[in-house]
Order: sequence, then structure tokens, then C-alpha cells
Amino acid sequence: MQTFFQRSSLGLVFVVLVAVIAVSQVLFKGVRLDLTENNIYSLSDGTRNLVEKIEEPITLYFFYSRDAATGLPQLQTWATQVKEFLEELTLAAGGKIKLNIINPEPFSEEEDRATALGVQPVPLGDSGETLYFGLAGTNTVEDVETIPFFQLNRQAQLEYDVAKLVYGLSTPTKPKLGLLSSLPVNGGFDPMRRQPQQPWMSVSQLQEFFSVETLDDSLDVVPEDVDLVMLVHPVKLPDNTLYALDQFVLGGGRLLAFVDPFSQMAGPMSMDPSSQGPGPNSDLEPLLASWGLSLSNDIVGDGGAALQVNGPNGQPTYHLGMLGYTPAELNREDIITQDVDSLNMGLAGYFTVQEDASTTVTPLIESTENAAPIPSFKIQPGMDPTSLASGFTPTGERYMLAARVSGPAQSAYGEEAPAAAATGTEHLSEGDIQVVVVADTDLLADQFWVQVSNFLGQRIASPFAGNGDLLVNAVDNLLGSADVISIKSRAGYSRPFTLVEQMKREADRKFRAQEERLQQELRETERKLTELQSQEQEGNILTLSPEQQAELDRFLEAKLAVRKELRAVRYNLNKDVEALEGWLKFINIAGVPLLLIIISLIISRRRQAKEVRI
Amino acid sequence: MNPIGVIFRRELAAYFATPLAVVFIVIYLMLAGVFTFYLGNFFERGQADLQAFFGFHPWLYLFLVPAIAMRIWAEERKSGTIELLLTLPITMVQAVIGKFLAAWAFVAIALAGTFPIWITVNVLGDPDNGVIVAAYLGSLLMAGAYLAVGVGVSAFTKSQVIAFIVALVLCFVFTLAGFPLVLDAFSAWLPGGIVDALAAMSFLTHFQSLQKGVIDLRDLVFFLAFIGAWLYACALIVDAKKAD
Repeated sequence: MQTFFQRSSLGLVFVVLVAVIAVSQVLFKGVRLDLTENNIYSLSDGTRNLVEKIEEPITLYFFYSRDAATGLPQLQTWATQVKEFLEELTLAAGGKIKLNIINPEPFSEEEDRATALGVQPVPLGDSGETLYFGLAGTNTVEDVETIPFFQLNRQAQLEYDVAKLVYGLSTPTKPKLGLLSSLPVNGGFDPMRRQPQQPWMSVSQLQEFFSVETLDDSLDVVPEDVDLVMLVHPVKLPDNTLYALDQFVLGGGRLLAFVDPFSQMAGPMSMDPSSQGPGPNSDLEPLLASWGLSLSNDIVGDGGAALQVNGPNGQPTYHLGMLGYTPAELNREDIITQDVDSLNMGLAGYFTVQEDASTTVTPLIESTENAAPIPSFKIQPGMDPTSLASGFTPTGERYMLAARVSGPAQSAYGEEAPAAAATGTEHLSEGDIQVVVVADTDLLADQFWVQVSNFLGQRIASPFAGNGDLLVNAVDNLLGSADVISIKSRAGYSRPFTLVEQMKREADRKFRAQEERLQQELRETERKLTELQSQEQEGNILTLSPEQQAELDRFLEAKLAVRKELRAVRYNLNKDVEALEGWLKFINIAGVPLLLIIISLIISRRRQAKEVRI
Repeated sequence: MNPIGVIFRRELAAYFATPLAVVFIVIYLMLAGVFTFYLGNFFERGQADLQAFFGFHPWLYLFLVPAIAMRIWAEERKSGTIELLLTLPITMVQAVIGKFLAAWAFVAIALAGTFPIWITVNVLGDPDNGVIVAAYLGSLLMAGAYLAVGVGVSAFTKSQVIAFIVALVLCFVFTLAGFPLVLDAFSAWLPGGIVDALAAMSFLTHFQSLQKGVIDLRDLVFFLAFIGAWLYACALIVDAKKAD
């Protein structure tokens, strides 16, 4: 009787265990503590704001073939994460989002619906089974936004992707951006390589969020539906355009201007000297002056932020005009630069605030104190970047490379509309403005911040600097919707071994100089050797004098020695990193065990000694 | 003093009375290091996180924890000291908990010996230390679950070898539950809901979510309930078999 009781209570224990676990799975859903540094598994404030602002209800359809996913544990875990995230989002939206979780059976109506909404079926092995794992959303005006398939490698971007979808549905009329550029930001035709050019990634990325309209560089008035004008490298704009922009800004329109004393991207577009491109220096006068700013003619040289580039002989050298800025140089209080981790700029200018400026100027990017202006005529095609360093003395001043300008401003055209202006509109002589100016245009170009690769016809961007974030932040902020920003910054997360990278850079710098010296020595030795050998032929003497022979031998020996040293230098480049790796392996594998063994030996000795004494 | 505390201290001190404890910890630490650097390619990955380190913990525990657990009750019974233990003024549950906590503390000490890797990753780069804290907690809880299985099995038999092998097999099943290997064996004759419940019993799924840096109440409940159930079962078995 007792064993029966015990056996049944043993069984009961495990039944209770399964029940407890099953109930807790349902009951404690979403109760969790997110210990990650950036709270990557919690809803961000941006998403919360976004869903709170939803006006018309949104319906989400989450398609997930649960049965087909049996046997794919990794996918199941990921699907659970997606499902729980969507449920949390729905909860936060307080009834404005309706979530339907659908398990589309093969050949069912749901399967047709999934395909119709753009969710992609993925074939599984040879069994002919297909898996649906995607999200579609609709709003009251029948707009459809879709995530065709939740890719495993986009787990970190889940919130960003879903929020983007919700954002698209909640703002059916996308805010409009007018783009006025003298550079081929929208792509074009490369006459040198005789092939079409892709649009710049920075601009392509903007088109994901905003509807972008290209503006003609001669316009009488900015179109009414444009909320923000983005100016890239304005050069010799016609008077009517300048006046239209002046009035647009004074009338409450927002403006984002990228101006540059030396735009690398504005170089000659073809071999034909008559089509020289727009010219390197931007010109936005008299507008800049009316906002209380002036743009330098010089570029900013910054020893504290110089990036490495390839010199004329292919060897890496630091370029004082190629700048890599970190959070220390970016304004951490302004939402535009708050979450930008790094920024690359090239041959940038700087702004100075005029004494009588009526506007408020907030610096967004400032150089380090190790900077000084460099006359832009020093920049020549194919020049050696080291030549910029000659005569460079840091002034100790921090130069302003980008700024937000707000507050009251006067029209650049005074009280009366100029003659070139279109008639029929009222002239504004003053107003509150909202403008962001950046003294560089090159930072928008792909090579400064992003690696673009082509994958099955899709362009995949892998950013290595935050230039794209800065642009999206600026546009989004100027358009008055700050929510996308905070979600944006959560994407893409890598934590490299900074120490190893620093060591590699250091080693590279140290040995580069040595290698250069040895190369020089080798060339010199070789030259002397050739000289000696040619003398020998000229003299037409078959045998060399003993002295000559000795000298020849000496040179040959020296040459060998130099080459050997050179090999050693190359080898040394990686030596420190390899030594570090070896040490770390030793410490982590054998360090604590050795320590333990020594301690336990000492303890057992003592014990033995004690026993002997007793 | 609390009887659990007495048992705990006696047991923990017993571990370190023989060189076996040091041998065990040394093997554990060296294997963890070798796996991290050679199988996990910690250095080559160049990423300041401890994925390469924690990823191997389930497999390390799979062999090492049953080895600790096997002697806890089996030896006690074989040498007959169990009768002595039972004459003490403590309940069976207290004895089981005290012994389990001592073994768990021993594993925790071994785990604490891996601290150089935490320092290493902080020297090399800028890791997310919150994630590492959660992963260490997950690793400790998972070790506790392995240990609970091992203790329970150890109560069944006098033979340490049998205790080791049975515990190993059971732990293996619980590690892989939720993986096709185990699920396929059940899905043929069990309804889908129960198969899903089985998948939720896997150590791996719960450890993985802790390893990401999220302390989910469901994972905590799973590990603690699992440990509790096995310990209670262990107490029942010891009680039933005390006469053997």
C-alpha cells in the first residue's frame, strides 16, 4: 500500500511540474528583466510614442506555419520572439492595433490571403511543404505594408522593421521632401565608365521613409506640398530660386543645406573639359548671411580626427582633411547627433556666426582643438596627403562644421521683393526659421560611410559610419516626427575587439616608417650595385680589381641584409597581436587551474606538517 | 543553526577534503577554456561577447555534473552512512536540500573560476556586461537543473557508475528536448499539445533566452520548479529505499 502511495506521489510530482511549467508559460508572458545595455528586447520609447500617435486603427496579420516549422528549433524560438514582440506592441497600442495570428494550412483560404498580402512562401526541403513566416498590415484606407519573411539575421532589427511598417500605415500621406542637388545623388550616367550610376545610398535610404521629390534648380516658388527642402551643394543658383528658398524658410518651411568649400564629388564629370561639373565650392549667399552665418573658403584640417587614406604610392597615410568624428565632437544634446556613433567627413568647411545674427545657432559638429583652416587651393588631384601637414599649426580653436539655426531672421531681400521674383505672392520680410546647415557635401557619398553590395538585384547596405543616421535624423527631426530616430539607432550592433584593432593600427604605424626607410636603403644599394656593374662593362675589363670585387660583395651582402630586415618587419606587424592571443589562451585555459593546483599543494603540505607535529 | 545549513557546510567541506575537488575544477576550467578558444574561435571572431564561452556550457555540464552528483546518495547508501544521517534530528527534505545546495555551491565555485574570460573580454573590447551577468545566471541555473537530475538518480541506486550513466542519459534527453531527435520519437504517438509541452522542458531553450541577456520569469520558474520537483522526488525515493 505504501509503495503504491509513494509511486503515485512520485508520478504526481512530475505531473505538477509539467503543469506548473505549462501554466507559467501562459501566465508570465512578457514578465522579464532586460539586462542588455540598450534594452534591445524591450519596446523603445520611440515605438511607444509611435503607437500612441496612431489615429486610425491598424490591423496586423502575422502569418506563421507552425506545423511546417516543427523540427526547426532555431526558427521556432525566433518565431516565438516575433509573436511576443507583436503582442507587446499590440498591448502598448491600447486597441489601436489589432493583431491576427494566422497559421496558414496548405491549400487553405489563409494561404491565399498570405500570398495576396505579399507574405512570401518559403519551400522546405524536398517534401514540397512551404513555410509562411511574415507580417502584413493594413489601415483604414486599404494601404498594405508587408514584411515578406522574418530573416533570421535581422533579429536585432525586429523592432525597427515592425515599427517602420506601423509608421508607414499610420501616416498614409508621407511627409514630402524636396531635393535640390547639383551632385548626382539620384544616380545618373557615368560618361567615363559609360554605365548608369546608382543613386547615393544616403538618398535611397531617405526614400524609404519619406516621399522625395526632386526640385528643379530654377523655381519661382517651392511647391506647396513640400515640407522640407534639402539642398546639396548649391552652386550658382538663379536669383528666383534663391528668393523662393528665402521666402519658403521665412514662411515656416524647413531647410537642410549641405554646403562645401571643396566638394570632392563635384569633380569633372567627363574627359571633356567643357563639362567640368558644378565646381567645387558651394555658394548659398545671400541666404546664409541672412541667417547669421558665413561659410569659410578654407577647409578644416584636424590632426585630432585625421583618417588614414592611401597615399600616391599606395601606402596608408593620415589625411588632415579627411575627418573621422566620434561622439566627443558631436552635440550629444541635440536629437540629430545624439545617437550618431561616428561620422566621416571629407574636405569640410566651417561656419562662423556673424556678430549681428538675430538667430540662435547651436553647433552640431565641432572639430577637435587640434585643428586649423587649410586654404582649399592646397587640394590638388593626385597630391600627396602628407603635403597638407607642412605648415599646419593647430590654433586650439574648435571649428563648427554643422549647426542648427532657429529663431527670428530677416529676408535676404529686405522689405521688397526683387525684380526676378515671381509676382502674385506676398513678400515676407521676416519670420521664424528652422534650418540645419552642414559644411560638407562629401559625407553623403557612399564611400564615406557605407559599403553597398548587390544581392540578387537588391542593394544591401553595410554602414561603417553613422553618416546615414545623421541624415535620417536631421530630415526626420526637421519634419517634426522624432519617433523614427530612436528606433533607427538600435539597428546594427557590433562590438569589436577595440584593443586588437588599436594594436594593429599602432603596429602598422610603427613599422610603416621602418619599412619605408629600409625600402629607401634597398633602392640606394641597388642603384650603387647597378652603377658598379655598368662600370665593369664600360671598362671592358673581364676581371675586377680586388677592391672593386670587395665592394661589390659588400653591396650584395648589404642588399641581402636589408631584404632580410624588411621581411622581419613585415613579420613583426602581426607579432604583438599573436603574442596577445597566446597569452590570453594561456591565462584562460591554464591560469586559474595552475593557481588552484599550487594553492592545494601548499595547503596539503601545511596539513601534513601539522599532522607530523601532532 | 538551521539543519539545512549544517548539512550544507558539512557537505561542502567534504568536497574539499580530498584532492578530487581540485581535479574536477581544473578539468572543468581547462575544458571550458579550450572549447572557447579552439572550438568557439573566440579570438578569431573578434567580437567582445561571451557567446563562444557560454555556448559550450550545456555540453560541459552534461558530463561533469552527473560525475559530481553520482556519489551524493549512492555512496551514502553503499557505505551505510545513510542510516547515520537519518538518525539525525532533521527531515528528509532538509537533508536532500542541504546536500543539493552544497553540490550546487561547488559547481558555482567552479563556474566562478572562469572569471578571467570576463576580464579578458572587457580588456579586449567593450562587451555588454548585462548580457554576461544574465548568461552567468542562466548557466548556474542550468547547472542546478542538471544537478537535480543527477541527485535524484543517485538516490535510486547504490552503484555510482549506474547513477552516472542514467543521469547522463536523462540530462542528454532534457538538453535535447525540443530538438527533432527527441520530438520525433514522441510526435508519432502523442498529441501536438503534449509534444509542445515537451519542447518547453528543454534546458537549451531556456538557457538560450537567458544567454541573450533577458531574465524572463518563465525561464526562472522553469529551472526552479524543475529543481524543486527533482529534489522532492529524491526525498521520496530516499525515504522509500532507506530500508534497502
